[in-house]
Amino acid sequence: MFKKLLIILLFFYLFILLQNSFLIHYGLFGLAPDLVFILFFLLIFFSSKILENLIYAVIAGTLLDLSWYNYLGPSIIFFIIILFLLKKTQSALNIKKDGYPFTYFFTLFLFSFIIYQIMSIVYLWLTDANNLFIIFNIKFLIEIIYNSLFASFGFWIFKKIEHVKRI
Amino acid sequence: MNGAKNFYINKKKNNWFKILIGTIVLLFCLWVLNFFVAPIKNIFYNLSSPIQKTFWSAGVSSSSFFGSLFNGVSLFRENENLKQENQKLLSQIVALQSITQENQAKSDVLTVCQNNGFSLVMVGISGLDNDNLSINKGSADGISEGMPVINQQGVLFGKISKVYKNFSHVILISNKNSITNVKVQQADNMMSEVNGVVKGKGALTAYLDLIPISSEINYGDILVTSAIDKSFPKDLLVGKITKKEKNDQNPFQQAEINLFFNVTASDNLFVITDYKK
Repeated sequence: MFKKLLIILLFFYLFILLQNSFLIHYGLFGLAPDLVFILFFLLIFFSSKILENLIYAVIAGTLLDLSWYNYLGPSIIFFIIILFLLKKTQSALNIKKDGYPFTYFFTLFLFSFIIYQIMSIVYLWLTDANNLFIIFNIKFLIEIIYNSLFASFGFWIFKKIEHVKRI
Repeated sequence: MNGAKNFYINKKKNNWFKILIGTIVLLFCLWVLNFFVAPIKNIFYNLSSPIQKTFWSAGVSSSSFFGSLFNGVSLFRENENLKQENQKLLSQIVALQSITQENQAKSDVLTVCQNNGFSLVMVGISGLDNDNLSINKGSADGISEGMPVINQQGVLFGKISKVYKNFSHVILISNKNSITNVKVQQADNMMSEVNGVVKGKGALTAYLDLIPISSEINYGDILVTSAIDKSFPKDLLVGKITKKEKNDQNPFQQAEINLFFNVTASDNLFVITDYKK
């Protein structure tokens, strides 16, 4: 368990450095993929252990807050909210034993990502607002599509890992 | 039956109680940790900075390599366009030579800064997120909040928004929370000055706003800082008008602009450390 968490921590750390520096140069319209959110979502999507998921939220949130926000906490809280919403939705939909179809994953990812983006924007607006701005523009849409592509690729990798584990 | 129902309600109440306690504990821990956030962030940055700087440089060099590779097809067309543009520019040079003052204003802004006695601190970019840059110098190097950030050509990037001991954050002029006072660089000195504001749109883009409807602005007009609110020194390069949007029902006109800064192609920037507001 500890070894697994350490590896995941390293992955989160590496991803945060990558998305803040290297991937900026390959971004669409100045937008880099949110690898930390994608990895966090994939981890909690495939795991049903609540404590483990909470630790993921704290690790990913802390690293994001240390990296960009002025305070510690907002990202941790956002991730915990996403975790709570996802697990509630998953238990309501009750599709656990049919190998997680892609459409199921994709829909949940889209909703979670949009909620996460809205929470981040509202937080930024509340803490440092000089003007009100429109969030639902074409760039917001591109950002969703761009991140969904990376998430789909991540889903494919996670499915492969799950498959290998089962064998 | 009733007992089972009571047990279920009690269990549900218990769960909510646990969640409530958990939330309070978490918020309390975060509140306490926030007293030490500056040194924690500084340690985190010191650890990450060398790796992030390497990634950034790798990104700059690899993206320019791939960029030139992918753009090879369009080079021929671009060359033709450049030839035409060159001829147009040659004719404009003749006209521009007579306007010496204009030429002076458009010359290297770094010289302007030096003439104004600004001292500059060179900083390296180590990250970008949501139109906020992180740079590798902080309060230990004399950086403080509000200082303007430019490049070597005198193009405005933004201003320092948060300072830590060994690193700082820069809010770019394209940030959604950024408003910059600008003026339109007039070719004719006799014309009255046109002032407006550049508002960030995010994703490294911005637009021009609050230009009086009676003022004349054109495609290609250069925008420079106006120093009305004293946030930035005057005459720093900001951008170029690409499309104007005039509506008679609106007291102000807006325009799409192309910002001059290029974050992804820059490795080093300069902070003006002694600009007096």
